[in-house]
Amino acid sequence: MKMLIAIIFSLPLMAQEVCISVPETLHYSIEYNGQRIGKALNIIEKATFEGKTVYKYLGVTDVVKQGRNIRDSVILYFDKDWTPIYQERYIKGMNLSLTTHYKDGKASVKLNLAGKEKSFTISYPQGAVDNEEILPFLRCIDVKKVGSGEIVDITPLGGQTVKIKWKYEGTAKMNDMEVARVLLKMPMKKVELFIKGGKVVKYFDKSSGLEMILQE
Amino acid sequence: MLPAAGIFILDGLILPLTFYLILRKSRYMKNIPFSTYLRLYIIGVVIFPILLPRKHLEYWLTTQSPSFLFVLLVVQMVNNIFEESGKAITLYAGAGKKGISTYSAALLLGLFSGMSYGIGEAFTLSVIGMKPVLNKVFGINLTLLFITWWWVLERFYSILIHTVMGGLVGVSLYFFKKSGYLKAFLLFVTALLYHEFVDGLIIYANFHQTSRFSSFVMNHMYDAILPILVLLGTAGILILFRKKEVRL
Repeated sequence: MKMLIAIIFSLPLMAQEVCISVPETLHYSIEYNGQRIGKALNIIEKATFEGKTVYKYLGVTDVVKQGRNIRDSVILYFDKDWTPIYQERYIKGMNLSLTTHYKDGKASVKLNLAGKEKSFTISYPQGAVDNEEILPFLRCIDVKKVGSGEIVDITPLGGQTVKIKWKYEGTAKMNDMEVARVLLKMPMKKVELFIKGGKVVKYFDKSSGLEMILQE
Repeated sequence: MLPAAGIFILDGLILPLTFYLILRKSRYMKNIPFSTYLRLYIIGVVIFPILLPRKHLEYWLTTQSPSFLFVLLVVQMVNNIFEESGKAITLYAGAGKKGISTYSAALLLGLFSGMSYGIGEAFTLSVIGMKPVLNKVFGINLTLLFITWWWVLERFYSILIHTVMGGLVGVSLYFFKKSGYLKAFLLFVTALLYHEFVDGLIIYANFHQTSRFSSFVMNHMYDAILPILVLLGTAGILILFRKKEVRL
């Protein structure tokens, strides 16, 4: 009986699993205050990392920012319960590369900016996800049913963890489709997400005017 | 390693020493002993890290309303009030009532206080940049800060900008002591607004990343933006010099 009660009460706390059918490729257009500034490609697929079958996220973002062409490429390996394992990132245009090993609540980050190196560690609580996982992670939550929540976001490039509060805000119409609206609140950003059929069809940073729009 | 030494030797030692040698020749500063300058320097350098944990408050504020105008007008202004108060505390604690008893002493020692505060900022930010674990202590994120010669140059300009603010705060304290509260208030507000203008450019560039002006700001920081800001501030200080015919 005790065991049954323990299981029932621990259910909402259990880490949810990846719900995305892989391989999945999504293309986004990136706009800033209505002006197209670039594009993004996100791929999630199964992969083998250190002999274990895991998920691999590949993100390539090309944008023109402050007069500079920037290509941000990220590869992130994560487990079926979203636990991040390893990340590699290279930002062309800033000459910045980064590797992150995640283990036992510590992310060991190695940064290299134009040949100069820096290493540091970020501590994070259990259930925290990498910054690149936020959108796929949210897609696997039944936002209407759960209503609201908090995600601890590990940002290796920022050298810290950030708490992101999310809240289901009802539905909205987008191109004659009914989409779920989710509001994300975090430092320096207030983001509106529009989710339809388990995909983020639009990401809108209300603070800066940055938008990511899913291309069919 | 060499640029880090540059921060501590060029920005932190040679610059204040040069400024001290210039000031001690001024006829208004004959009675100001070396120990006063030393006190101003030490307090200015130390007060910056003491006041820096306010960044936790600013961070919290940005979570409440992360809009451009809120960050510019509220969050940044909170920062400015702390920083200008830091310069006022440096001057008053380091030079006492005597330091603000005459217009010229308040102005010149105010400049020295502002410079010391700017050096404190350069030291503290450099150390945090080298040891990102300190990000959490101060509530500031300098993970991407690498100590390069560009950083030494940027800090040099920043120290000069803080020097200007210190001069304004110094004269503000002088008028406050003489019960000229309106003048004191206006001068303090001028220092706040100058600070707002300097940092506001970066905030604008971060929130308007596709505008041509943002591109100009970010791509010409060292050869145009910072030198222009220093010149503007210097012009303001020269006006204060002329007001009471202060000469170095």
